[in-house]
This record gives sequence, structure tokens and C-alpha cells, in this order.
Amino acid sequence: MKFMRIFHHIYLILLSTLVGCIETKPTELQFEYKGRLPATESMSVGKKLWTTHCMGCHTNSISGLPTKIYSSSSDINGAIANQGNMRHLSFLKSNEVDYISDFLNQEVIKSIDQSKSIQPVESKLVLGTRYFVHSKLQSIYTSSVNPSANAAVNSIISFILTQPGSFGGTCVSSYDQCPGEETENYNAPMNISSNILRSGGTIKVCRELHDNYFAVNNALAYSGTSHSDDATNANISKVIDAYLPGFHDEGSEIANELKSLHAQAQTSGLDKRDAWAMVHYTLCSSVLADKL
Amino acid sequence: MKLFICAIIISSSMAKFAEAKDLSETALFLRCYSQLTQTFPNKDLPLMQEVRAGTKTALTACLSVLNSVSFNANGNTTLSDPNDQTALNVVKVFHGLHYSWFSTKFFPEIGDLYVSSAGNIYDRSTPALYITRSLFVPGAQFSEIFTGDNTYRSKRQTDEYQSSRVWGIHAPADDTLQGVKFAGLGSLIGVEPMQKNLIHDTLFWNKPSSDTSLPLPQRIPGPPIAINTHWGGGVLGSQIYMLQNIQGTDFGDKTDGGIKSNRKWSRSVFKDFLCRDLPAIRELDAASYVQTGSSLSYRTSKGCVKCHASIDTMAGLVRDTHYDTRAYSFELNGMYAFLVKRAKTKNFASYFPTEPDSDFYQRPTTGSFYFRTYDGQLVFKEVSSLDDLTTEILKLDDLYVCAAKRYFEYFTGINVDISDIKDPAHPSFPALSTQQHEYRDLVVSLGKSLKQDQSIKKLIENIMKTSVYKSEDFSLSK
Repeated sequence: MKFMRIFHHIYLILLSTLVGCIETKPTELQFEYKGRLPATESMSVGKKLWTTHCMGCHTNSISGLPTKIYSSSSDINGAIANQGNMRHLSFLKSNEVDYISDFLNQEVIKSIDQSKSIQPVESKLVLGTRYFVHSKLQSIYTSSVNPSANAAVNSIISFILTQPGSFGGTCVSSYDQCPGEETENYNAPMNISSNILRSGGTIKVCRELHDNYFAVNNALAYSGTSHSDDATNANISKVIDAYLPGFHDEGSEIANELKSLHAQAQTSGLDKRDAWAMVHYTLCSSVLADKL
Repeated sequence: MKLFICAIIISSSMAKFAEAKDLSETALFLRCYSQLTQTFPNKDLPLMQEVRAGTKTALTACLSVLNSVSFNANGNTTLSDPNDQTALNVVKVFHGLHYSWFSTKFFPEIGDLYVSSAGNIYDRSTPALYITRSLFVPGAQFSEIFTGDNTYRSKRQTDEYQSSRVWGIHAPADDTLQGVKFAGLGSLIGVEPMQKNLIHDTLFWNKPSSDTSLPLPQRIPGPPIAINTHWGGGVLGSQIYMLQNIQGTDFGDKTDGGIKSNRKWSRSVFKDFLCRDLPAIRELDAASYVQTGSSLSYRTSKGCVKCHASIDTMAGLVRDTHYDTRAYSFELNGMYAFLVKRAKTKNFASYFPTEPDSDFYQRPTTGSFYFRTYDGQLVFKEVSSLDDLTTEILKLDDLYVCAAKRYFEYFTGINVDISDIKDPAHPSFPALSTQQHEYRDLVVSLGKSLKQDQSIKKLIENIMKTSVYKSEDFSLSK
């Protein structure tokens, strides 16, 4: 369990960074050329910094994930200071931000010019609302076999319902479990794209679920596997199908990677049950598993 | 650390689920069932098992869920089985979705809580009920949302809430409006019409209960108050839509067609039902309304008039609003404000005056509908009531295309631009991309079908039947 806790901490931080990036498809790529003329050296450093710290979210492909690419140093600094999902970049020094800016001005603009003919359509990921997520977790992590153990599990899952601003699902009346500021929650849209609070909330709940013995057993049972089962292709497919019915493709890359995760968990000294728990946890905490 | 890296790789590769291909029947069922109910189709769900077994298609299964939900009991006001959890979920999803489309979701606070106290009687989501009713009442036409003068009230599982939502009143019996049903609590199970032009007696306390120097406090009759005056035009002129969108600054407000106008309401009409932010016309359409000598600053430039020419002229139709208020007397037994109509004692004059008109609020309710359609046609119609207005609006495709756009966005996540894209001032001018056009054309065709079918359920079915909906990432077929 100690290993799981360590894993949870690291995974929480990095998964939240990852899924925080998966916000919306581009509505409009904005780029403002501000006329800086970078030296070759700064271009090289800028490219490296961009690739390391920025490109995961701000892919330079028009079909890639988030939204804006800021070009001037002041714009980038402003975004780091004011945008929640960029604050973790505050460690960047001012000259490093300049290098990134130089690189963007010279290089990324080319790809944007090339892709002008592919105007993006304004769209967002269609994710289930808090009611969907709550219902999904309840289906997988509670059981009619041992109802007395359900109370604690339901208590963990119920957190999701209290987060309309992060998970979506409008608040029409007080019956809809809309705590907090009325104007904030009652204005919650029906669908909300992935956001850092949603990611954090999902991870929090999944982490607590995987610290609960009964919840893990229920998830294993729901997927039709046992803690003593081997991670065969068929069993991995069963687990994927529990979270994403109809999406699994036996032998697919995702299946192979989950299989590999299970194997590595065992190599690292975890027993089979904890290895399966890790596979479930990965699926549970991925916001993309809420994609409809 | 290896495990951690592995987990990251897996998370990244999950994005591969977004690759463009058609969904399997099971995955399509997951999508449509989840969107209809916002619940996860448990593996034990019979419909899921049928889809997996191939005995039912995903679409057939989902449409059976949608079509089974109907307010077909008690005179077409209530679900046939108010305990059917799936039906309750579907109603909740769509009523919540409809509510989310309204630009104003609250009762404004004018003079303490007078207006928001209406929440004791009406759900704040009452305007959305008009759409929800159209979806679930058998045979209801989409156009009924915008016609007539019915006031609708939600029916919920606990039909009469035992204490005030706004004040700490113990029961409706303690309220100023004694005998009026309070808004219910719990899941929405139906929609019922209220008696038209309901005028209700009010009751006050004659002294505070803490005053022991006089005989015990007693309830005394107060003047009656009209609680659901309606301006016609269906939801547009309904009491709650008016209360939420008129947003007067003072109970004594009198419109003058210039400084004081109910233009917040007309702005909401354009946004809520036509999906249009202002301006709703082009700059060149506004030129003839510019009056450089006017004391009203917005009349002196085209930039301002291009918005005011649409919203102010429409607001002339609801110029006669007046807040009728009842304050509590000594005890917290409710304070209310409802909108009523003023008497028309003056003759007709311009509905878009170049100077404030002190008699404007007493003149006949005239105005116009001035609008550029999604395909750039200029519409100008002089009208004298909200029924006239909605009759003109219902002739166009825009209202239907707007509804199609909103449902399409819910089901696909794709927000289609249905504004006047031929306007030189439009951000996308001179042209949308081919892909944007194709989505827009699809939504327009869905809207036109809605106009023909008058059925929201049919619209949803049509959306689910598109190749876009069946595609994993909602892409257009190649």
C-alpha cells in the first residue's frame, strides 16, 4: 500500500497535468507576430524549452489539442501568471520565456500559415456530466453482494455530485445537489469539457476508491475478473470494456499498455491484486474514459 | 518510476480513442443512452445486453428510451409512472439542458427580495418548462412554445413544498399569498397549466407578534394581486420570463422608449430563441435610424443604433409593464412583486422615438421585428403584440435552426455558427471553411425538418441518425 500511495502522489500530479491539457479542440488559433529577431542560439534553446514544457498542451498542429499560442514574452508570462493550467510553469526564467517566444515567432507561425486552409470547427469533448460519472463509478465500485460495504464507497463517490461547476450538469433546483455559491453553480452548463478541477476531482475519488478494499473487489468483479487472474488479452479487454463498453479492441495499443502496466507492477513487487488495482485506477482516473 | 512512465504512456494513448471511425453498436449505445439519461449503462441493463447480443441496434434501443418518456397521464400533464427512474432521468437531463440555454437564470433582486420571492411559487426554470413540455407532452407542437398565454408550473415529486425557498416561512399557510401552491421539490414529473390571469387575495398581520401591549396579532385582508399576467407569445410573454428578463431598476419604472426601455428582455429574446448576439442586423440596416441631433447618445451613431434598432423596437411590445408589489406587514410572511400591465390611455406614437417620450408606457404596445436571418435576409415587420411577433418569427427558419443548433451541440459538442455570416462585420467574413459550412448546412437542414415535423423527439432522432453522430469524433463523412 505504501507503493500505491507513492504512485498515487506522482500519478496524481502528472495525470492532472496531462488531462488538464485535454481541454477543447481548437476554437481559434491566435498568433500575433511581434517582430522579435532571434539569434540561432536562442532558437535552439527555445525549441528545446517549447518541446519540453509547452508542446504537450500547445501542439503546433492545427488538429491538436488546446487553444492559444501566445507569442510575445509578456503574453506568455501573463498566461503563466493568470491561467490555472499554466501556473506550474512559473519556474521558467524570463530569458527562457524569451527563447520560447523567439522560437514561436519564427517556427510555429509557419505551420499555422500552412494550416489556414483547415479552419477548425468550434467543438468540445462531449463528456458525461457529474450524474454520469457518479453513476458509472457506482456501477463499477459498489455491489449488491455486500451492501453493507457500499455506504463507505457511496460516500466517496458522492463527492462528484457536489461539483457541478467542474463536471457539468445544470442545477435547476435545490434538489439537484448544488451546494456553494448559487450564481456559480446554477450557471453551470450541461456539458463541461475537461478541466483541471474535473481531473483533480476524478483523481481524488479514484484514489480514495482504490484505498478501499471492497471497492477494488467490486471493480474486479464487475469487470468479470478475479484478483488471481493473469493479465491475459481477454482479461485486459474485460477491464477496458467495464469502463468503456464497446470501445475495446483486443490486442490494441491501449490493451497492450495496460497489460504491460500490470506486468511491471508485479515486477516491482506488487501482488496480482494490486497490479489489477493499478490497471483499474488508470481507467478510473482518466477523464477520457468519460468521453461519450 | 517505470510504472509511472507506463501510466503516462497509457493515458496519452487513450487519446487514440478519438481517432475518426464509426462507433461499434455497443459504444454508440453507451453514447446515446448516456446522453439521454446521464447515467452509465450498467452491464446488467437489459437494453445493453440486447445491443451486445445484436438483437437491437443502438439507435432502436435509445429511441425506445426516449419515446417511452411522455407526460401522458392526468390530462397530459404527468409521467405515466412518476417512479420510473429512467424516465425521471431523461426528464431531468432535458429540462436541465433547456434551462442551460437561457441567458438569465435567476430572479433579479430589485428592492430586497420582492421579485425573487416569486421562486416560492414558480421554479426559476419555468421558462424552460415550455420547451420541456413541448418535448414530452404527446402531440405538442414545437410552435406551441411560442404561442398562447398559458402559464406553466412544474410538477415535482413533492408537489407542495412545505416551506418557502426564499424566506424562512414554515408553510404556505403562513405566506402572504395564502392558499397558492408553492413550487414543488424533487424530480420533475410533469408540467401543468395554471389558471389564466390568476388574481389572489393577500393577507397581512396587523401587528408584530412580539408586541404584547396589544391584543394577539391577527391576519387582515390585503388587496388582491395578479400573479401570472401574461403578454402572449408563449414563453416570451410569460410571467417568469418577463420577471427574469425585464430587470427594472425600480418598482416605479416607467418606460419612455429612450432612456428607460425593456430592452434587456428583447436582447434575451434574440439570444435565447434565435441564438443571436447583438447586433441582429447589419450596420447598413441601421443607417436610416441615426439621428445626429438626438439627446439620446445611442441614436447618434450607426455603431449603437445597429443594436438598438432591433432591441428597442421589439421592447415597445412590452412597454406597459408595471411591478405590483405586496410587502409583508410586521411578520416574515412573504413579500412579492409580479409584473402587470398598465392601462393604455394615450394614442399611438413612434415605437422608436428619437427623444424620450414621457407617455411611452401608456401608449398602445407597438413595435417591430427587425432582423437579419442566418442566410442574410433582412426582415422588418411592424407588430402590435407578442402573439404578432412570434407569428412572424415562426414563419422563419431561424427559430428552428437555433433549436437544432442547441440540441446538435449537446449531442456532438460541435457549436455551429448560425449567425448572418454574409455580414461584412462578421468575424468569419468572407467565408467559413468547407468543414464549418458542412456542419452548418447539416444543422440548417435539421432545423428545417423540425419546422416541418414540429417534434423535438423527431429532431433528436434525426441527429442520432446522422453519420456525424455515429462517428467516434463526430466528424463529417469523407
